[in-house]
This record gives sequence, C-alpha cells and structure tokens, in this order.
Amino acid sequence: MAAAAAEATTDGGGKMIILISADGKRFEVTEAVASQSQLISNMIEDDCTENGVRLPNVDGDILTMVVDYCNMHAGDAAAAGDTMKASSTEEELKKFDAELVQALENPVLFKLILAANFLNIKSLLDMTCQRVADMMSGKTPEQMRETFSIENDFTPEEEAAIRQENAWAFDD
Amino acid sequence: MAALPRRKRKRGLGKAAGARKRAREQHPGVAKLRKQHGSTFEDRISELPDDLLITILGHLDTRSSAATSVLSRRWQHLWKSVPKLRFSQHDIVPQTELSRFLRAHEYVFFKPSLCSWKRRVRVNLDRRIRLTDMYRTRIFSSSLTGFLHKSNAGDKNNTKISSLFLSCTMEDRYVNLVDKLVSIAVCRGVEDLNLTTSFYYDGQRRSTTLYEFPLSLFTDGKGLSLTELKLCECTLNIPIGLDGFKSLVKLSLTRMPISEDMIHTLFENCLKLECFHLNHCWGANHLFAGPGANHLKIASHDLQLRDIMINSCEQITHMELVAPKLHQFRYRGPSISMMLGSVPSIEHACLHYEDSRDGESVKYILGKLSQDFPLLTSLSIDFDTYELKNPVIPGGLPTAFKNLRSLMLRVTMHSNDDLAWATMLLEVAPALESFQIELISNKKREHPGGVLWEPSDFEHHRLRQVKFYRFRMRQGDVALAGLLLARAPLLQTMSFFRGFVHNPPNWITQYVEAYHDWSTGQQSAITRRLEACNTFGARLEFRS
Repeated sequence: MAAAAAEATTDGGGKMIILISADGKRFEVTEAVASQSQLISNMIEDDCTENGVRLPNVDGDILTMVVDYCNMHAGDAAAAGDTMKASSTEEELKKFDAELVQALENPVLFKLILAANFLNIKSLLDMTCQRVADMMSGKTPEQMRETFSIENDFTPEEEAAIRQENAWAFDD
Repeated sequence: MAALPRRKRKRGLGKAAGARKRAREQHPGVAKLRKQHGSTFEDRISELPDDLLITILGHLDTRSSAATSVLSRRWQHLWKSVPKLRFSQHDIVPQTELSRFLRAHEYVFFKPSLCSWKRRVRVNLDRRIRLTDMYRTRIFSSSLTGFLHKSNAGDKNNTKISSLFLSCTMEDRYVNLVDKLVSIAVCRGVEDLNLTTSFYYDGQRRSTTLYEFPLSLFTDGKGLSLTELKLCECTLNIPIGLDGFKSLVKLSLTRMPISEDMIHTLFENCLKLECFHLNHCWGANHLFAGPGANHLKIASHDLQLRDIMINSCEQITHMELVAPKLHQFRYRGPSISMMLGSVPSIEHACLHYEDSRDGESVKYILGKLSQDFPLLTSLSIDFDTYELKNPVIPGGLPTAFKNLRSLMLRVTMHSNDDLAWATMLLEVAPALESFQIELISNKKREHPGGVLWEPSDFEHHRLRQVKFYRFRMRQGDVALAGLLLARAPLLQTMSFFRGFVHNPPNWITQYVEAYHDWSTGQQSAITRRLEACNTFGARLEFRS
C-alpha cells in the first residue's frame, strides 16, 4: 500500500513521498517539499524512496513541525531570483518562522534541532540554533544555567579558575 | 574571587531559584531527585552532540560564547572549537550595574518633577546613550585585548576559523589589535572577512585616519583561503601590479575611497569574483577629481562576475561593462552614461535614479535602456518625473524587451500628471506577465514636467497580473488602470494596495501595509469608475 501511495502523483505532476516517523506516523509530501532535506534529496537521487522513508530518529510530533516548515518553504527556491515577487510572501514566511520557534518549549526545540540536523535542512537548523543563541545572548552564565537547567558541576574553586583564565569574557 | 560570583548569582536569579540553588549546594542528592521528577528540570541542551552545540555557539559573539566555558565541564572547551570570530561593539548588551542604573532612570522618566519632564527625558536619554557607549567601548576593547592576549600565549588551539566579523567605532589604539586579529584569522584559514569599522560616532571621530586594511597579509600567496571580503570605512590601498585576493568570490566596499586603477587592478587579480558591491564610495585621488575621469570600467571576457551593485557612488558618471556571466545589475544614484559591451546572461536589473531634473534618466529609461539590456526577465525601475524642467517627449517606441516577464515601476510624479506613458513600457514588453506600479505623488512643482505620450491601440496578450501600490484614486491613476483593463484581454487580477513598497538601500523590498483599510464606499467607487473599461472581466482586488 505504501508503495502504491509512493508512486501516486499530484495534480502538479510532482511525485509523492511517504515519510514514516519513529512512532509509525505517515506523512505524504511532494518530492519538491521533501528534497529540502539534503538527506532525503540524496535518497531521491539514489531512487530508494519507493517504500517510504523511515526516519527512526524523528518523533511524529516533531516530524509534523518539520513537514509544516518544509511545506511553507517549498516555493522559496523557485522565487529566490525574483526580488519583487518574493517580497509579500517573504513577510508571511518570516512571520511563520518566528511563530514556529517562539512558541516552543526547550525540550521540543532541542528535538527539532536534532531532527533538522539529521534530515540536513540547513535553513531550519540555522533558525533553531539562532533561537537558542538568542536565548543565551545578553545573559550571565548564571542566567544561562537557569534558562537551560544546566547543572553546574564545577567546584567554586574550579569555576573561579576558569573565570580567571578567560577574565575578558566575564568582566563588566 | 569565589565569593563574588555567588553574590552575583543571588542577584541575577529570582528568590525561588536562588533558594533552589542553595538547597542543591547543601544536598547533592537534590539534583538527582529533580531529574526523577519533572522533565522541565532536565538539562536537555547538554544532551545535544558537540557539533550542534558548537553550531549554536557560532551564532553568538565570541565574548558570549567564551563565557559559556563556566557553565559546566561539558561546556568548558566547546567555545574554542567555534570556527567563527565575532567582535561587535554594537552587539554588547549592558548588564548588571549599568542596566540597573538605566532601569532606575527609566523610572524617573515617568515621575512628575519640578523641572520640565521633557528636558528630564532628554537629559536622561543623552546620559543613557553616553553611558551605554562608554560601557560598550570598555567591554569591546577589553574583550579584544583579552582574546588576543590568550591567542598569543601559546594557545594550543588551532581550530580553523571560517569567518571573522568585527564591528566597532575605530580608535587609534585598536589599529594594532585589529591587524593582529586579521593575521590570526588568516593563519587559521579565514574564508569570510567582514570589517565594519566606523569613523564617526555621534558626530565625533575617535581615530586620526581611516583604518588601513592590512593588505600585506593577503599578497604573495598568503591568505588564499579568503573568498568573501566586506569592508566598511577603511582604506584598501591596492598597488598597481597587486598579486593577491586570487580566491575572492564576493567583495563589498562601503563608504571607502576608490579609484579607477584600484578597480582595474582588482578585476585583473580576482578572476573568480562573482559578486561586486560598492556602497557610497568616493574618489580616492586625482583620478576621480577632474571631469570626465569618473569612469568605472569593469571589462574583461574572462570575468566570472554575476552580480554588480553600485549604490550612491556619486562621482561615477560613466560605466563600462563587459561581463559575459553577469546575471544581476543594480544601480542607485544619479543617471550615468552606460557603455555595455557584452552582457548576454543578464536577467535582473534594478535601477534607481535619484536625480533627474534634466530628464536624462527618464529619456534613458524610455529610450536606450532596452537596447542596453534586451534580455532582461525582471526589471525594477525607480525614478521621478515631477522635477523635470521641461516635459519629456519620447521620440518613439524603443526596441523590445524580448523576455521581460516582471516589471516594477516606482514613479514620483505630480498628482495631476498623466500616466498614459507607462503603457509604452508594456507595449515594448510583449512577454510581460506581471506589472507592478507604485505612484508617489508630490504636489510641489516649479516646472512643467511630466512625460507626454499618446498610447497606440496595442493589445497585450500575456499580461495576467497588475498591482497598484499606494493607489490614491487620482484621475491619472484611474485612467491608467482603465487603460490596462481595456488593453489586456488575459488579465486575471488587478490589485489595489493602499500601502507602499519599502525600498531600502539593500534592495530587499518589503510591502508595508497601510494603516486604514479600503472602505466599501471607496471600493465601489473604484469598481464603478473602471466598470466601462473592464470588458474582459478581470477581477478587481482591494488590499490594505
């Protein structure tokens, strides 16, 4: 059945691909959407997407987000050359992206980073990493530990020594 | 030393968090307990693999990423593997004492007081800006010095550096530091170098001369890893016969002195250059001083150049271009004379003429432009007709744009001007599918300007979409809309936007929505006025 669905084509003529998450959820997307992932793009080139693509590292709820993101950005590459045509949709995309990452809880954000890295979607990886970096910037190390619940496993003496070593990064 | 961070920690955190921390310090078992309880307390970020944490740190400036060394053992050395260096004076966020001070003063803004609050706000704002600047300067110079001191002291870390970004207000004392930083980056194989120094801050300059880019680090076979170079407010003293920059793919110069020889030498050397941007550059020496010498020549059949942008370089009056792979050409500034040799691959052009009193640019757009760029597929033009001393009367139809599919026209004109001439561009673009026009009207007029043109009875058989921005229902606007509806049988939608297209110097255009939406009365008024012309039944669409 999966094979039959994988062969199905849309009205637009693009071939459909089935993505299967770790917990067995299935997502049907066009080749153009899926090939934003370098991993899947390579698989398409090697013709091994016939029976659906199993993604054992990605949960269903995370894959839902990734597929949403890819669907949104599918027209991107095509419109990139035309500066004017892209302008109005670019706004919408930015809004979509901002909403996507702003609302995420930390653990979900990190799972999304792992998924973007595994699937090799550069723009999504950039965006999610940027979000984490934004959460870090302008914070003292204490505040960073608090934000990300990082366990301080240094003794006070060790911590003081590191602060001393890189004093330029801490003085204010 | 150990006591200080602890005191700070208490201040930085909320009361409850502080208490939690204290509790954990007393009972090491508490941490384990927390892990078993809620997932929200788990340290998820440290579970990410090293390369991803390094990618995340790459989005921070070098000082902040170095500060993560103190988070935990896992983080101690990670920052040293980040392949990017970023020192930016303007990114530094004031912390602790200063932000407390600023918060305290923010409170004062809204407190009624004896002296006028406006004055108080101004004084406080000035003070705030001055203090923030002092803080940033102090932190910037100490982190730059500190980092270089470390890198000097036999640091075993030889990670590759792919990019170096430095942004600051230049001071004489930084010159040696920046030179050293660039040389470290070159030794570690830097590919992308961006030095955005500024000469003035708040109207005052802090260094005696512009920073001179250390060119010697890139000559005689050195610095060959460099592919992208972006410089702002420095000098680049390129000698005749330079041997360097051989791998450069992108070059961008902003507010820098340039000369004809320099450009010539650059293009002789950088045979891989694909992207060349000049922003607000001026003539460096006598070569640009005399009239007729302001000649920018980029001409060679071996060039790989794909993208040229010339933005507000007012001394350039002539441009000579031979670039077989040129794909995109963007120009902003006064009208210049163009000599185009061979540019067979060009597809996109953005032209923004800022000074057109004598009508040179209007005559060029309605005349020789299509001869110069016959193969364009998308064109964006920005010019004004309201300052013309005399009306422009085009001699006849220019040659055709064979492939033009998308045209954007932004015209500043007088509110009573006739716009029929715009159809002339449609008539010479038979393949056009999308036509966008933004009309900016200016009521002041000293001269009888405008463009006089009587449209022929052509029909356009490709046009599917028309967008009017900043549509204000003037007579000329409505007449043009009617004319387009009557002449384009395949037109599907004609959209009327109240808002405008923001066209910043970097050409990344954005649509800005109007504050008010169209009222139903306005919508029906426009529909009624266009009814008679809309014989082919195009859909009229109204957007705020």
